[in-house]
Amino acid sequence: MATLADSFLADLDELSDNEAEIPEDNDVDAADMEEDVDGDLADLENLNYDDLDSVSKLQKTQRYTDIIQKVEEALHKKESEVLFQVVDIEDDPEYQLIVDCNALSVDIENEIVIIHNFIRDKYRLKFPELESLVHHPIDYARVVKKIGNEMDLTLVDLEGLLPSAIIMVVSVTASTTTGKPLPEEVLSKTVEACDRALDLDSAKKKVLDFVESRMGYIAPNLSAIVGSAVAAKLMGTAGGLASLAKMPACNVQLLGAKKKNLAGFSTATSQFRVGYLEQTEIFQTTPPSLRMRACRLLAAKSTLAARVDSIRGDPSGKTGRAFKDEIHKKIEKWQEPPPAKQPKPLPVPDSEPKKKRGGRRLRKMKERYAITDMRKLANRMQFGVPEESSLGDGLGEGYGMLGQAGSGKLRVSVGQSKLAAKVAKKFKEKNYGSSGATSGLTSSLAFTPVQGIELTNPQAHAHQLGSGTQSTYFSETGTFSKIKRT
Amino acid sequence: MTGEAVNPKAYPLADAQLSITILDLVQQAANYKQLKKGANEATKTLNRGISEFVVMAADTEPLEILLHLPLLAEDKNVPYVFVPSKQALGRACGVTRPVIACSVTTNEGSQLKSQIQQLKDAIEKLLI
Repeated sequence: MATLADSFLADLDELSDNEAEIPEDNDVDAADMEEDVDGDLADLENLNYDDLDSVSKLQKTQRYTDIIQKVEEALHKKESEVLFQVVDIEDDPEYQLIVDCNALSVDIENEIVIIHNFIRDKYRLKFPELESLVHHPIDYARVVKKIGNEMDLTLVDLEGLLPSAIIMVVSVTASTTTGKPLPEEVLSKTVEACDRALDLDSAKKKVLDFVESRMGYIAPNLSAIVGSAVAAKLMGTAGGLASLAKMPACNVQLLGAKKKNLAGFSTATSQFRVGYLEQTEIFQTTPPSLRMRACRLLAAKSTLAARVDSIRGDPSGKTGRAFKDEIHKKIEKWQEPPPAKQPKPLPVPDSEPKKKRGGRRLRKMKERYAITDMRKLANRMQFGVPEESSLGDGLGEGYGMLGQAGSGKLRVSVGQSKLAAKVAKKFKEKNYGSSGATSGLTSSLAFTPVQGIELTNPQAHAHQLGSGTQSTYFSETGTFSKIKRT
Repeated sequence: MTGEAVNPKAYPLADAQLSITILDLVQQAANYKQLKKGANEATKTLNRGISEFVVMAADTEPLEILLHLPLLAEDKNVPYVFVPSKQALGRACGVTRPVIACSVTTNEGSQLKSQIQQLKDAIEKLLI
């Protein structure tokens, strides 16, 4: 139940972050309620937050003092003196202290943000550009304390506080700043606020050291995967182990990610920033090309381990070590080269015999497209006899055996093909032309169904007898019952 | 599957008849695009408050990797239920891999609204 209560407290802290006013972290008491009312009235009366105590009250609460004192006592214990009783897990004061430390680290973080806003508001008159150059609250406090009221920044040594590039940028910007020196009273308040922020930061470090030393007990599976330090940071940022377990894996991947470290620098050459997970040993030993995939894999498995730890499913950490082995195997699998391409043999040839096609349709098709007799003779050569050609003396197109039958003509008397014979027979049946015999009842003008109007020569068929269709009764050559063959 | 001992933490566990009904509705929700598959996406639907009910697989190994969902579901007052097989749950969701948790989401005017309401009532009866 204590865990649930602290989760609710963390949820309340998260809810208060969305309020328009700056949140004030206090225990809910009647006296504190009155102080809150007075603080709100003071805020309404004077919006410049002249007094630091009106916006920052964490260090004066009893809860903060008690926890810091207990942490200092607990850190001085030897490791062998720490004895945990698994049976009475929730009643153990050590466990309760660890849970309180998780909540306190979140409160300290919020308090540092509040003090940072206070310092920034005060110091803006002196150096307006500094807040856009130094983003981290603790670094900002150190720089403000170092610079103080100095106008010539070449006399101030910022080495060790900031990276060299940012020191150069700060120095160049200070030479052209529009700020003015602060009054002594405002400067002393600002320096006091810086001191308070630095004290809170050291207290937070102490709390995290304590939580880190006990992380193997609180979250054994998570510590097995990402290490105690990163596990403590993840829990601190998420607001406790229960909150961490309720996060989706894609949110765990981004815990601790900072987007403002690259102010003024190109992102084309920057390293991939992932947050706390990039500080793990698994991530650092991964090749750079696989780090994004390794980060996603780490986030997914870490979330599963945190969920196992949040309900104390496996206090021995065996599940976490199994997840870690799985992660290592996958990363090694990614680094293997793809298998070499095998030489592929030719496909098996088609050994089936070709199917023969037959039938009436195919025979007629072959007959229709068959090679002609003329082409056959032209393609054929006779032994010992020179062929004629279209241009003479072997030039042009050769005629082969064409025209060597005796006559000088190139024509070939074609044999009667079945198709041609059939067509001719069909044509003859429809011949309605008149015969050579001319009688007084018929005309030389005839109509045929094939060619339309057709003129026939009466003399061309003079030797033939009349057909049955013509009247031979009055024919000149007709005789009675005797027909001579000519 | 009947020979294995079910984890006692998987509560409430649906019986065979109710499991078939749940998996049928999960499959229809997948067709109607009213389904979120996976423990992380189910966590997001609970945090956003768009979840109708949560279905979890009881044969997950280890089961603790999805026991944060009942806590979240209790906070958000959303019914949750365990089904015996993660393989069957994956098949009902329409994916080829096993699915250990899924969430049916809210959609006003959906044709599944009455069936979802009936199933929510049936799930809540298991807790009595």
